[in-house]
Amino acid sequence: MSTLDPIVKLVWTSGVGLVVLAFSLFLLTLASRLWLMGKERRRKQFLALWTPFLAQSLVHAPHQLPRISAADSYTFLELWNYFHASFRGEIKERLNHIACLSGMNRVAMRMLKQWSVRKRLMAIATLGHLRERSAWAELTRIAHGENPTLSLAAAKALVDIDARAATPILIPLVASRTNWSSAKVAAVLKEMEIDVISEPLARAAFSVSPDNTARLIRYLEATRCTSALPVLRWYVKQGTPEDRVVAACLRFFGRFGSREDLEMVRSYLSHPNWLVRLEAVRALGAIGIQEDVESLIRRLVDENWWVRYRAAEALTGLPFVGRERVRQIQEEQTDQSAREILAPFLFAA
Amino acid sequence: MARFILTVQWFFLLYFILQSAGYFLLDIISAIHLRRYMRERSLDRLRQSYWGLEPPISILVPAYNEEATIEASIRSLLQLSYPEYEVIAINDGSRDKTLEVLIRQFSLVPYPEPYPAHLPTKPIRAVYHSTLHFNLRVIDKVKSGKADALNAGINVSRYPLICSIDADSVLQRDSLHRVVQPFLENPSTVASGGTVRVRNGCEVSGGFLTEVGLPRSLLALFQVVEYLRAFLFGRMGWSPLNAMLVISGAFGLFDKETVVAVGGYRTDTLSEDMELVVRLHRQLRLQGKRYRITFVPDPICWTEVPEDLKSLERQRVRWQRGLSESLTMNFDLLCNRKAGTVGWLAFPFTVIFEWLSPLVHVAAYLLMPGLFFLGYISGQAMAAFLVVEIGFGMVLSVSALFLEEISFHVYPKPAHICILFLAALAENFGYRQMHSFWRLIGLYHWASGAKAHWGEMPRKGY
Repeated sequence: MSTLDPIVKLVWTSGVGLVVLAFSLFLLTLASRLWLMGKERRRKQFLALWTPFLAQSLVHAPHQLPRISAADSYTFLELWNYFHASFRGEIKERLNHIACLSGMNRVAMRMLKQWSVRKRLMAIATLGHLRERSAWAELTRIAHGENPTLSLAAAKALVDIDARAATPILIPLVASRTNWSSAKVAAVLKEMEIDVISEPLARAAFSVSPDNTARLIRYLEATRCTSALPVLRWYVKQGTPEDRVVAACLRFFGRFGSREDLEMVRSYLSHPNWLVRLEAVRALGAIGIQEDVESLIRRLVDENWWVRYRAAEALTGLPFVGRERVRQIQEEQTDQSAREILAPFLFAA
Repeated sequence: MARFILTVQWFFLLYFILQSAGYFLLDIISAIHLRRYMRERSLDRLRQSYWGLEPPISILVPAYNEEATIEASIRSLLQLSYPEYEVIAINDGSRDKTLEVLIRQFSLVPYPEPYPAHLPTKPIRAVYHSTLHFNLRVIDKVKSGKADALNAGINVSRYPLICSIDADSVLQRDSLHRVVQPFLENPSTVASGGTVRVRNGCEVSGGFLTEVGLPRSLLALFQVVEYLRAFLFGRMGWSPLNAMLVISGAFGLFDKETVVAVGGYRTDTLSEDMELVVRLHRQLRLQGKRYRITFVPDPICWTEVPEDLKSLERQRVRWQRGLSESLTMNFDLLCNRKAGTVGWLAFPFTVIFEWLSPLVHVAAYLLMPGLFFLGYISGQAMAAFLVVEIGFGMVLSVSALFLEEISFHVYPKPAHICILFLAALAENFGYRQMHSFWRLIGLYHWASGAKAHWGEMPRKGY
């Protein structure tokens, strides 16, 4: 037993150490909660004073503002940015006036250089809303940085400051940064004028890898960049683009195309890739004419279930194909699955 | 004999040291990532908006004998805030009035629904559409278990992402918005899961959680601590390494195409949720594909836990058995040269320190006092074992409380923290030992091939 004693001692000491650690962690947790409660109380008091004051200031511009202590500046910026995100038009100018009057533009500039990501994010949003040109260089640097959250926020701030000047910085970043949230990128692009982004975005779409091309075409679609149509048409007609790029283009034609695109769309109806066929069928459902009905009927027996389903959906959605005609098409089908796939559309009609 | 005792002591000591080191490491990784997550999401609080590129989601709700809760559950799902989603309830041959309740409350009519047979399932009797809610459909099928019901739901679903949830889960209104973020931020994401919290003791109204509270039942209280531990560092710790092996069946979001490609949910396991995630890792790793399985730490789903020993025992036996099945069905992931962090870190860790841990723990609980009473080890050694075992359990639980404190502060009052701390202490005196014993039974059931069954838990409902 005596040989074990050092081990027992070690185990005993570790055990006691663990218990002490557990109690210390508990006390730390409790202290953190009490500190947080105090902070929350202060925050609520500040908001109770400032929320009505800020709302009132939007109607009658104040000449003087209550002093904002350094400890409350983050809360103020939170409230101020919340107001900014909630209102449109002239009110934003008044908000900017209040921020400058209270010296928060300088506070935001200082915050931008701090280590805390949370504070830097708040500073970036504020400087963007303030359209603070003096922060342009620093925001550009952050936009090119590694952290996706900070860089996307900085890119948005640049757009807020000057959308036209931000375009040459933003578009290459949008094309190359796959770690930016696609939905948030779409939101930034939507805030810009279509004329400003259409062409550079369309051009960028075809200078990157096929994966990224498809992604950028989705942005064009989300921002309703119809002026990108000629570029997309030209691209599909050129050479042999990747299937996923063709599918993305067909989707775009389906949403924003015209009869001018019909020939091209039809040419993909029997493409070997089912995703391409699917998008061609959907596009035809949107822009198709009387003579496309037969092509869609043929797709009711496509080897892929989803193509069959979308063909039925497209067919029944064409304005000149009435319920009786659909019933007739269904009866003419010798294939059981083609008849079945039309059934719900007849039921719903 | 002395040599045997020495070996036994060294074995237990090394096992506990390695296990503790592993959990501490996970704890640290969780703390770092949780803080980063909270900081980077700070601007999202300002305005939650939808951007138009969110992929549509099909929510799958398998239901078996859920007549008491199904209406409220579906109503709350229909009120979620997300741009485009559908709810597909799957009545898995309920013996009660689940289907009748659904038909009556949601004005369902049979519909000639065509659907692709991507995954083989037991026959579907009928598909119903709601005439009140365009995005609600109900599948009525022959009973064959949750996995088969989910597969039927996948076949009938129309959208690229599928969200499996339990019929009794209570979601936050923005749950889908939060859990879809990994798919928007990384195109290679194939699955994401959120934190599941204990609903017992909370106020629920209209299918949504209105006030967070703690349960009165001690058993449920222990489970609150357990859930904090399991989610806030068990899963959060593995997620940054892309090695998370479990997404709770109570709430998980998957890329449908990938799930179909790996064969959907397996019907021959009690833990279809974990098995699917382990299989996704196995197949995608071995195929050399780029993918991500991500954990979203936000508390987005609340579930009711058992408050009686019998139901809890059944649940834990089933979980251990499910864990055994999930690991053994995908054993070629273990230390496979293509398996990366999953095969070389998460899988071996789970096998040694979670799957086989009941064997070691129960052996230690029996052997140490036995050796002490027989006079082979000193009282000092026995006490040292107990102190280190209990101390380790306490640190893990309290560190989960700490992670909760630095992130979401879901339990609002300091009294809640004190109660949870007391629960974290008390669970070491009986509950954890009992839990290990139940898991050993689960292991035995799996090894002996005993007939598996889900059993039923008495529910309080909404």
